[in-house]
Amino acid sequence: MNLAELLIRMRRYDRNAEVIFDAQEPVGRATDLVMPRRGWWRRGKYLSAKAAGVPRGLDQATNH
Amino acid sequence: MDVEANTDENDVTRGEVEQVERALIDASTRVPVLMFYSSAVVWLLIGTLLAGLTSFKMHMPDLLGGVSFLTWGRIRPAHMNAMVYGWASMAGIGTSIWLMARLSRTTLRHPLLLVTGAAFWNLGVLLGLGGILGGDSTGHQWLEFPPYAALVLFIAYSLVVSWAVLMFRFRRGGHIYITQWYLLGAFLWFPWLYGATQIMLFVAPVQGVMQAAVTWWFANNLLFLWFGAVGLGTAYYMIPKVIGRPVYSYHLAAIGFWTYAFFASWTGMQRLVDGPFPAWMITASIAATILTIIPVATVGLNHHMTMRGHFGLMRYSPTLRFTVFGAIAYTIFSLLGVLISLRSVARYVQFTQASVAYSHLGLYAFFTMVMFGSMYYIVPRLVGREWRYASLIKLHFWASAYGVMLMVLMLLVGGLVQGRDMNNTALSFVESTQSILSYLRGRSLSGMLLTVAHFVFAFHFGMMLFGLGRTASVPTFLNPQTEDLTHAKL
Repeated sequence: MNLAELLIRMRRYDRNAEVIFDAQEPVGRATDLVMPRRGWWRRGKYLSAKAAGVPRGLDQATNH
Repeated sequence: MDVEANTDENDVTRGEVEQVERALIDASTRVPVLMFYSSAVVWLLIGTLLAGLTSFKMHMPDLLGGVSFLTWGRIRPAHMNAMVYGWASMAGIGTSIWLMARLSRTTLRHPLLLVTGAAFWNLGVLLGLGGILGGDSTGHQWLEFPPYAALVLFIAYSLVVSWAVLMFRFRRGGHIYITQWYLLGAFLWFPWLYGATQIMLFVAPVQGVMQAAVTWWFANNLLFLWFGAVGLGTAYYMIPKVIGRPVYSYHLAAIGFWTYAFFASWTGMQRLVDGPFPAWMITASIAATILTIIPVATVGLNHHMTMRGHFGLMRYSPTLRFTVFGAIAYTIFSLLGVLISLRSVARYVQFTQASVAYSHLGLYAFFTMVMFGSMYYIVPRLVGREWRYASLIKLHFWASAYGVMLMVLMLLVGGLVQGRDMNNTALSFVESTQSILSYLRGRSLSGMLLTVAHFVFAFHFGMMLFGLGRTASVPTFLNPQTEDLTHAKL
């Protein structure tokens, strides 16, 4: 096995890290984001996602 | 255009099929996993009450001293075994069943056998605790259950593990995810540890001080190879899944797993520094403990690099905040383990409260927090409802986090003070124990925080179990984005 084959094999092996994702919950889509951005002392006020520094993609969050 | 349309159509179909598959898998695991979880929560509450009594008795020794089954020598092992076999093991098995089914992409067949396993496990723990409180303890740390209770536990475990291995055997798809390595390892390591120790201590007992060596090998490896493997496997699933990012390096994960498997099983004897054992036994364990820095560093690096840039999401996900806390605690636990295994340090701390701090760091700050995180993720998917109160989740998290941090701090500092005084020949032994009374009171305070956390969690879990969770589709009601969208529409 030459170096190129080894690198290809290693890259393929690294793709195993993606098996927990699928079409419904793809890479890049966060899940389980169920908590509000709400401080202990400002109970009625929700901060906007942008102000809270939420990365893009939060709007795609699912809970399946 | 046609090609694009077909592609979209195929994607939708595949997505729908996967969603139905997932729902079927979750439905098949619902009864056994919830049975393991609800049993675990009940044992958690019992263990917590016993822990409170144990802790208070450390600085109020006359408390309930007239009741034989509530004496310190009985309730301490009862507390530890309730937590180890009742809470931690049952929660770990529940999470493992769900993870294994999801990752193997196969429904659970004949779940009734797993339910029988859970019932037997409960019976084993009940018999064991009854035996300990009745004065029938074996006297070996974390193995205090009388042999008849251990036998019932072993039968229960056989039912559970055979199903997990079968599920793995009939998995769909050729890929094996890191979590499956850890879970499969844990499922094989536990019977090895428990079976070998039972044989060497009770069936064909080894003689003299070798019993202490076997006991410490078991206790240390139960933390590493059973709870450690289940906890790390769970973290390797939850962190990438919640943030929607594959684990940073699969190769690093592989190195971490195999070095962990190789080095961890050599540890245990470092708890017996200066004991009447051949020096090589203790040195080998110290060396192995130091070498566990390799898997700890690889796991820590992998988790950190996976999370990099996504730490902000911990605000929104209860799963993530508990799991990340547990993952950080794992690194601290392991490094502390290396530190207290060194001869120069062990001479001061090995018979002190520092040893108790180490156990709490591993079993609570790491494993229990990861289990809480996994339950926050899995339970809504099993009962089809969302956690009702965000405020209760926050209260649970902060009470647990502050509680365990305070407890570890009190026990560690108290242990150092105790070690210093015990090594001071000018002081009597009684004086060395009196010097840590204030730290033990602090520990009781931290225990009260943990008690609040556990009862809050049990209440919230009970609501979910009885269908009182919030009905939610996608995205759930608590998601801040929902609020933003509502405001935007207005």
